Formats: sequence, structure tokens, C-alpha cells
Amino acid sequence: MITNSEISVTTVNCMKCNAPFNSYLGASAYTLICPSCGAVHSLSSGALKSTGPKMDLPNVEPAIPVGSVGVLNEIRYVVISYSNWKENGTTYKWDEYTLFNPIHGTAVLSQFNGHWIYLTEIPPLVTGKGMTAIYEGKAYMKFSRYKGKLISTKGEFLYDFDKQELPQVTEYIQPPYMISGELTASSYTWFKGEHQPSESIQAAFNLKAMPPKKGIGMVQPFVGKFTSSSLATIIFLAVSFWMILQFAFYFTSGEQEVLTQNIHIDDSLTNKEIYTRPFELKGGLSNLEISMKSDIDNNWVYAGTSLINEATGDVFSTDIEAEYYHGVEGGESWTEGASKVSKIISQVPDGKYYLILAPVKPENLRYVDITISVTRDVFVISNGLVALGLILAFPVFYFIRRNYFEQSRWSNSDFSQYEE
Amino acid sequence: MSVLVNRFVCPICSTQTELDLNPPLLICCPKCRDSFHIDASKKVTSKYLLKFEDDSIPVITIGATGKYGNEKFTVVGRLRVVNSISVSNEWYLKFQSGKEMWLVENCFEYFLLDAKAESISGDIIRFSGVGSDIVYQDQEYLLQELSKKVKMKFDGQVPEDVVPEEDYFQYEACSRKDGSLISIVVYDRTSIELFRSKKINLQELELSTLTQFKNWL
Repeated sequence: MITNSEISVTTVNCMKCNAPFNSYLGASAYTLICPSCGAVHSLSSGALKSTGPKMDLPNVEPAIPVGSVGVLNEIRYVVISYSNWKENGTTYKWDEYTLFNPIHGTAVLSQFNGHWIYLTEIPPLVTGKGMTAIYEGKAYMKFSRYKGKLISTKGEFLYDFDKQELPQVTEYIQPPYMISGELTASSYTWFKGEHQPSESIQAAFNLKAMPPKKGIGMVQPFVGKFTSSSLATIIFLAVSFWMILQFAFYFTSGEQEVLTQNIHIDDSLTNKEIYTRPFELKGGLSNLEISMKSDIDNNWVYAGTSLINEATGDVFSTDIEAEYYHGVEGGESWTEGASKVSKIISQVPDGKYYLILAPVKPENLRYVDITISVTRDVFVISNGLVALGLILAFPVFYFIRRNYFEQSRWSNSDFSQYEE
Repeated sequence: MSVLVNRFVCPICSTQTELDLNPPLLICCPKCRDSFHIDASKKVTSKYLLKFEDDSIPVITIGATGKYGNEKFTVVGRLRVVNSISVSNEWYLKFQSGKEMWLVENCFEYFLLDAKAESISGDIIRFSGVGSDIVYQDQEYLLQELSKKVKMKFDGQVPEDVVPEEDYFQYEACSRKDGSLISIVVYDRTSIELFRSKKINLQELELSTLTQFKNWL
């Protein structure tokens, strides 16, 4: 019996096998199970008597022994019972521990696959229909609906229960919380549950070992610092900033054309070097776009290109190749390649320059006309796209990881929104 | 005469007990545990009721004091009701103003009930079972529990009419709107009473006995 601030036990002798066992509730107990033979002692007739069929006793010691005392969620509890349940018609089994405090009442600790949930009774202020239940302004998604079947139990209870009864249970989740409604012939009760880290249970009851974890718990929270909405906000701000920067780069780029030269390439120039007119770059270090526009049609042209600094002799080399093909196949027209191509050379300093071109054309093409253009300080989107990719890499990875986590969670549910 | 002014003298063991309630009432002698009925004219007759062997957890005891709504009260009586589902302890509170209420403990949840019941029609609960909704005074209530009284014991002092001889059924219902509670007690087809109740945190009542349970607060 619990008196003052201590816990002592009342000894009860089993009415079937006469074995003594402990009771923490004393006269407040309604149902007691003999831990030796499983005989059920009940107050249902008004006086404590052995009634009905014996209860199956657990064949393994519960993770939290009956009689354990611990502080959970700032409330001191003594564990007064342990029950092993299963979902009727399936192999899903879980454990329930009744926690008792004479001032705060009772709570339940539920354990499935090493994941723990702390449940307390709530008033039936649950609204909503179908797949959603609303409680205290929050929406909970339907996770399961089943009939529970009691497999084994030990300890004592403040109420009567029928071993044969199959409570109808409906569970809704909003991790790390859940709400569940439990209907029997004589009562309809709602509970609110909250995920408990197994470390907190182990610490609260000073346990040496805990059941191993498997999979994702029903209301196990996703470990991440960001909610979906906060991450979406961060992405929105980052992308907006990126777009502003890109617009700024675009509008501040000089796009200064410093050379345009037409070149006629015939067999006399094949594999020979062509020198362009010199041009001057002013305005500081910047990129340079070398473009080659041609009149090829279902053909190609190539120019090995070198940018030469007249004063220093520095050489910047690149290759430019234009291919353009088109046709009709199966009644549909197609194109491939382009007749105008360009290459970017980065960080070209000021100075006087000229280009040396080594053009190559197909032998069956008599000649090809090309126009070489050089433009300084052009806007290049590719760098920005790389930056955008880096910005989005983390949130994309985060969403993928989160989505995988939720799929795993809902794989245990008959109401999963995820396709298997 | 076993009642001297406001004091009851036990006809069996002569123990004197201060009367906290006005007759008519039931009183249990704190020493010999026999029960008696004191009528309006203060005549004492023996009332056979089951003797109370109290070995439950003494969070609330007769004689404990407390405060609710800035008003002090004393716990003067107790009913221990074993029903078909659980055990309830119903404590009778007498306030300094003369008001009387019940403090009910069921599975160590605590509720305050008005001492006065409302008589209602059975139509409200006709064809209704646990899990269904009923409407009373334009408010929807979910029937959460149905139990039948199996045995009752009493202690201390309680009004004479609160210890029914016959069995009764009791529904517990909760408002869908605001969580307020009602208990519907069905004695027979024509005698049905409704009690309004409110769930409370026991610490709200500043009970004098709670100091002994400081490690559980």
C-alpha cells in the first residue's frame, strides 16, 4: 500500500494456489493477477474473489519489472501492471505498463519494437471524420484500426477487464504525438500519447537493458532541425537571393563586342592558320565569349582557337565545333546541334589580343562561311546553376531522407498514403 | 437520546462525535464502526450497513480540510462504491458557507460534483449505449462508461438520502463541446438523476492530507 511518501506492499494470498504476492494498491485494487498461477482476483462481486479463467502469465520478464519506481515527465510513478497485447488476426504484439501515482492518477507506457509511447487519458473532445481526427486544434492522421487481444498479464488494475473482450482501437498520429480511441462494451476512452526516447525510460526506471529497436516507431519524430515549412522558407529565401544576384550579374554585365570578322574557308585554308584583326580589352579582368556562326546545313565545321596577348604572348586555347543536322523521320522533323556555337574563356586580363584560328571543314564541302565574334564580360548562367545546385543539394537531400523516413513509418499502417 | 445538541453519542460504545451535518443524516461511529440513522427530530436508529475496513491509499481522509474557490471545506463523509467496472470513493464536503459537494475519486482521477441532483427523463438515454451520443439541454454528450453498483459502504456523516438501498446503473458522459461531465444514475425507469461534475487536479483543493504525499506531487 502506498502511504505517505513511501511505497510498501500488502501481501495477498492467492485464493487458488495460496501463493503470496504483492499489492501496491491495497483496497483500491479491483483486479489482481496471481503471479504464480495466473488466477484472477476481482472485486466484481463486491468482495475480492477468484473469478473466471486464469490469465496467461508472461513467459519473459518485462523490460520494466512490476513494482519499479521512476520519475517520468516529472511525475513519480510505480509500475503496477504489465500486459502483452496483440492485434487480433495479426502477429503484431506490443507491451503495456500501467504507471500509478496516487495524486496524478494513472498513465500507460506502450512499447512496440523498442519504441515507447507515454499515454494519458483525455476527454473525448476529438472531432473530424474519415482519415483525420482533430484534437486541440491539431490534425492527426489515421494510422491503424484494430481489435486488441490480451495475451498475458501480471500485476494489478484499478478496473475490471474481461480476458475474452477485444477492445476496438483506432489510432491517429501527428508525430511525436498520437491519439487513440478504445471502445469496449462498458467504456469508451480516449488517450493522448507522446513518443518517449528509450533512453529516458531506461534512465527513469534505472534499467540495465532495453528492448532492441526495429524500424521506425509509430510516432518516432524525424530527427532534423528543420520543419518542412521552415526548410521551405529557407529555400525560398536562398533561391530568391540567388535570383536577385543573377539578375544583378545580368544587368551589370558589359556584353562588349570587341571583334566581328567574317572568314571564308575553302580548301586553300584547310589546316592553315588564320589571324584575325587585333582587338583591345579594357575594363579589368573579365570573361570572354568567342562565338562562331556558320552557314552549315547537315554538316560541320571546326576551328582550333588560340587567343594571343600581343604584349605578353600569353595564350588561351580552346576548340570550337559547330554541327547542325536536321531531317524528317516518320513524319516528324528533327534537328540536332546548332550552326552557332560559343566558348567562354574566364579571367582574361586587359590588353591587346588577336585570335589564331585553325579551321577544318568536311572534304565534301567546297567552302563554308563563318563569322567570328568576341564579346567581353558576358553573363554566364552556368556558374549560377552550379551555385543553385549547391544551394538546393542540402534541402533536396533532407527531403529525400525525410520522405524515406515517413515511408518506413507508414509501412506499418493499413492507411499509408505511400505506394508500396 | 443519543444526540446532545450537536453531538452524537454512540448507543453502542458511547463515543461522542460532533455533528457536521444537519439531520436527517447517516453517521458511522468512528470507534465501533456501527452505522446509525438520525432523523429530523434527532431520533437515532440503527442502520445496518457494511462496516468499513479502510486500507486504501489515504490521499483523502475524513476530517481533512481544503479550499476550493477561496472557500474552505471539511471532508465529513465517504461512500465507497464498488461497481461492475471499478471502485469509486465519494467524499462529502461541507463548506464554511454551508454549501455541500461531492469529491469523487475514480481510478485516482478526481471530480467535483454538485450535491444536488437533477431529475431527468429516461428518454435521454433510451436506446443509447456506450460510444453513442445523447443530447441534454442542447448539448451533446458522449456516453463513455456504464456501470452497475455492486456494493456500497459508508463512513463519517452523509445526508440520509445518498445511500440507496437498491442497485442502480450509472452512465458517465462527457460533453463533446467543452469536456464537461455528467453522471446519470438510473434507479429505475421512473427515477433517474443527473449530477454535473468537473474534473479537477487534486492539488487545486489544497488538501491538508497532501503534505504526506509530497514525493508524489
